[in-house]
Amino acid sequence: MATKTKSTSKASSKTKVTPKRIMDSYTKYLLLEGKQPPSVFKFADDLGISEREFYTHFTSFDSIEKKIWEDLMNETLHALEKDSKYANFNAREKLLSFYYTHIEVLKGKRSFIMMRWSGLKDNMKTPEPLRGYKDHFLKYAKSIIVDGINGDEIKERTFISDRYNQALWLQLLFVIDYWIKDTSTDFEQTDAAIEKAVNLSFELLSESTLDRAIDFVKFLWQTK
Amino acid sequence: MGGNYLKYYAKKMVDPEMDRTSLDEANATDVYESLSQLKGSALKVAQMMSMDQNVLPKAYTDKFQMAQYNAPPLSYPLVVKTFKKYFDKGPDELFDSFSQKALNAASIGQVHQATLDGKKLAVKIQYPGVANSVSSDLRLAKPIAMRLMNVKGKDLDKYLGEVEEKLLEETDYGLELRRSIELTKKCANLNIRFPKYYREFSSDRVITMDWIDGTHLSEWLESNPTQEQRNAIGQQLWNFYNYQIHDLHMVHADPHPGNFLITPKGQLAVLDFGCVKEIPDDFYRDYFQFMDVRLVEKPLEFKALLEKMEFLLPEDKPGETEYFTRVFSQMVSLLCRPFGAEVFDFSDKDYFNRIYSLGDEVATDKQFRKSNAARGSKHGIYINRTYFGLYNILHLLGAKVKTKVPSDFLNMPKAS
Repeated sequence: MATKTKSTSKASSKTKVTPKRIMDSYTKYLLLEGKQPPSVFKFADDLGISEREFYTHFTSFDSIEKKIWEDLMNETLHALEKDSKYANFNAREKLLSFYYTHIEVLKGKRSFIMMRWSGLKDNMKTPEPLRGYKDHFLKYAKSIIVDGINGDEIKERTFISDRYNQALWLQLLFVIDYWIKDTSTDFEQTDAAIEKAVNLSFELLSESTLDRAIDFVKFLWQTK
Repeated sequence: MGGNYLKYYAKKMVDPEMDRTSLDEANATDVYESLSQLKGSALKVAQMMSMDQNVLPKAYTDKFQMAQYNAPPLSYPLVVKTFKKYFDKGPDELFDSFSQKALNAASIGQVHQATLDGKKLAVKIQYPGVANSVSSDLRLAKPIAMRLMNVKGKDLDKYLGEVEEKLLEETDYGLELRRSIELTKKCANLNIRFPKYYREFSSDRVITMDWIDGTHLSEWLESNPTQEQRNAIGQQLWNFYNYQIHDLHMVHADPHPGNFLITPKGQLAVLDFGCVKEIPDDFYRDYFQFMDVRLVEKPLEFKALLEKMEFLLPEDKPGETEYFTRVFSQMVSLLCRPFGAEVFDFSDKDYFNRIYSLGDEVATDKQFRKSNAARGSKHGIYINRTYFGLYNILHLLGAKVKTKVPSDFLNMPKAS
């Protein structure tokens, strides 16, 4: 493998190295070797570029992974923006479309995700590679929630509504986790899981029993 | 007609007395709670049982009908995703218009309305993951079925195997499309309205057919049709089933009132060939000998047939053999009565009450309850379901039907 990479890299060493080429080579190395390259030096050498050139694009291997994740999110969001029907959907349908589109996008990198996922999800803190991915999602989730509040699908609750997007983030992690473990044909069970998860979350986010409970607790607190 | 499922049906036949209803209610709630934790095909089993409104106690059917409304609809984004997967186009690119909301819910899918070139179409879309969960759902339903049917787990497997096969077939929309086209073609001269099916807009998860305007059977009955109109619809139904069973040996095994429409012209329309039972030749020959009302009067021949059909088992004790022969002969002569008549009046309340009271008598009988062996061929499940469904609809219609059995059938050489 190393020799092959070398020969192709020599041919292309005159052309400028792009972040995409670095990302592709990195993913390829990771999936074929089962581990990260031993050093940036070795990786850059195999690619036929200098270490300096590598650092103009990325600061570390983790930052490559971070970009890969960010791209997955951005590709999804761009696909939704381009869909003419999407803008007319209500918040629930928008979120469902997001998931279905996102799972399609993730399929293209399933091996990479399966390999890295277990190391990522066990962290209490958001791991470095998921930072950008998460930020983009939270921003997107916020826009869905604003849509939902304006369309009366989601109830605005003092203090809590600011955390809604965090709850949707946990839901996204759940969906990806489910998809990774899904063995059904064409991941059909994931489709079913998405429907159920989104329906449930919108039940909870809408004016519901939760509000009665909060109201009741507030009442007990204020009158005791 | 009989067998273990008959025992099951018989046990569950309605006793309208109040004191039983409350007991049933408790049981039903119990069973329903177990069932409500299931999904997909277990739901289908529940529906199957709730279909025969007069056969199951009312408390059971009420609960199970709740089960029919419990499956949440597919979201529009998932519908779009399904279309893009199979047709590379969203539904509104494929059709001139497409309803975002489903107009009807089926147990394993939902129906949308579309238009193309001025034609109204019905587009049925299957819920995701149903096919994958059939087998595991049935395993979950097994303890409940054992309780309902009073059968040993091992013996139940042959029946559940048949149910599983049929449920898997129902999730196979490719098969359903082929059968729908075949059956509607073969039944073309029966004066029944069938939708046309569109291969180009169908796939593993989608079936597109003509949208048929009409009122559902139960609504139609509320509009107070005349006795002649009821008889006409009842006769069309009877002929349709007679033709399928005796000429095609292949039958639409889901005579649920929701699968029939009455068109504005008063014609019967049949929807949904998801559940079709193909009748094996030897089963056909044996089973329909029971239709010959004279058979019960020939004890030896009758007993031989019961043994052949596995209603009587070699391991039965002498007392059991006589007991079950008597029970089955009562049931057969009662249930086959329409076949012996020239014209049968399905509005006859006495007749249905006698079925119920016989069922109830048997159900509470200690000797019957004691034996939990499986009796009867697995092929009987869907044939009995078909007849119970058909009787039930004809009773709802209160129709008088010419039920004469085709004469060439009775002259067939008897299998020994």
